Amino acid sequence: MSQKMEHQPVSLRERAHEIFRTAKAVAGKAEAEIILVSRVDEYLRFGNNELAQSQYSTSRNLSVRIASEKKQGRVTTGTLDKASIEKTVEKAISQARNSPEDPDYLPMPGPQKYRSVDRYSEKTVEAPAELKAGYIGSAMDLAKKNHLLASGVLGTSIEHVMMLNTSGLEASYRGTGGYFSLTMDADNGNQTGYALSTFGDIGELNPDEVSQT
Amino acid sequence: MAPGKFDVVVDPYAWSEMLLYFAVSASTGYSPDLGMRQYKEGRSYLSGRLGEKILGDNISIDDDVYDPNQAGPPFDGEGCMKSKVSLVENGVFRNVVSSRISQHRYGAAPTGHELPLPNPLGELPTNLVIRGRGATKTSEELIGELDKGLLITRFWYVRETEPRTKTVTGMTRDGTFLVENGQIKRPVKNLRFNQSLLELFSKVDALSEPVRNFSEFAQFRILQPGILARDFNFTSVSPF
Repeated sequence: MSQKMEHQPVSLRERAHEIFRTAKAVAGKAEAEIILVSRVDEYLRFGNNELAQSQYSTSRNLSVRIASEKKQGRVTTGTLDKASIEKTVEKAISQARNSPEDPDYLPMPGPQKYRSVDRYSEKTVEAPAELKAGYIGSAMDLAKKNHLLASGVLGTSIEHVMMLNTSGLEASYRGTGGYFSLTMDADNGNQTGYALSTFGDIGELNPDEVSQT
Repeated sequence: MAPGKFDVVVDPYAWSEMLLYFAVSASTGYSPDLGMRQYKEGRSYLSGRLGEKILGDNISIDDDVYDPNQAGPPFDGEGCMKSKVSLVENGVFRNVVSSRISQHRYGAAPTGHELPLPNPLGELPTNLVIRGRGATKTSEELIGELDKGLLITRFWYVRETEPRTKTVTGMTRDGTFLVENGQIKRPVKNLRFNQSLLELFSKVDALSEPVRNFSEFAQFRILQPGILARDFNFTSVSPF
């Protein structure tokens, strides 16, 4: 499976605005800010020259900040149906009411200009598990050839962040990343060697270099 | 092999658990050190030390989310744009990161390093870039320049023991090697170390190109080099 089907940044933006409308309706005249973070993580774990586990997980987490009369509260949730969002905002309102006044409180910032960053790799998003398993297979082959045992993880992730507030700020970010961690064991684990490579774009990963290290 | 002070080559990926202690203090709940509020309130190990030489001449540390090898969003916890900040320049502590709150309180120019509010801890640089001066060397070249010492490929169980000097302790693992005359001679048993990061980065002779760290602290990204350094303090030897 590639990670593409589960990761739809456009819909996340629409979802963030939908959540924000709900939050504003509950917040009334108070200031409101939401941060919505979506993650897709895929890990292929291997041990003793055998592929051991394929893990695929998705998450969306919402963090709501409410501010009123120089008091503020923040509540987070991973449950994003309308009733749960409303409850989360109500909790943030309650937390703000019960917080001490901050004499230095500043109103939420308005629209900002951002310098763009290019952190999103389609190659990483689309990389099928077969490709990653092939990288691991090469490491295992090299290990076997040298009478060693290979263990480690090849992980990739996609992160998308949306931030909105009642002063008109809207910020978004999407990025990909990953790592290939490899330990080779000799002498029943009494001698080990380790190599790691991190990447934003899986095309940057040279699995043979990691294995040979 | 008896413990003691050894010259070392540290692989760039070896210390993903270690270099974060430049910027946070474990003894105060991993509170950030390099922000304006902590600096002004005397909570940072560097409070009152702007302009002081804290590392070697050949070491500079920036916070730069725009470095092509960095990761993460170009905005902070309240949505303000991040700026590149030179924290340490040629060993001299030059700047801390700032925010709208620090602008309000202290008149400091905001740099976009606020954590999500409310934030009692202060600002955090989340995209450190540690660089050496001049041309970088490969790991093989660093090993080639080591007359006698140890090659470290991985540290773990790293804990901060002294937040004022940034002294950390931990173990080596997964391959620690004796190097003589620029050649890897043999593996050695793992060692425990007790080492100040400030002292270590005052005794660096050469560095490799920084790589992106792999950290349990997912929002804290460091581009970290490998180093050839003198007098790394190993305090005991493991039976393994």
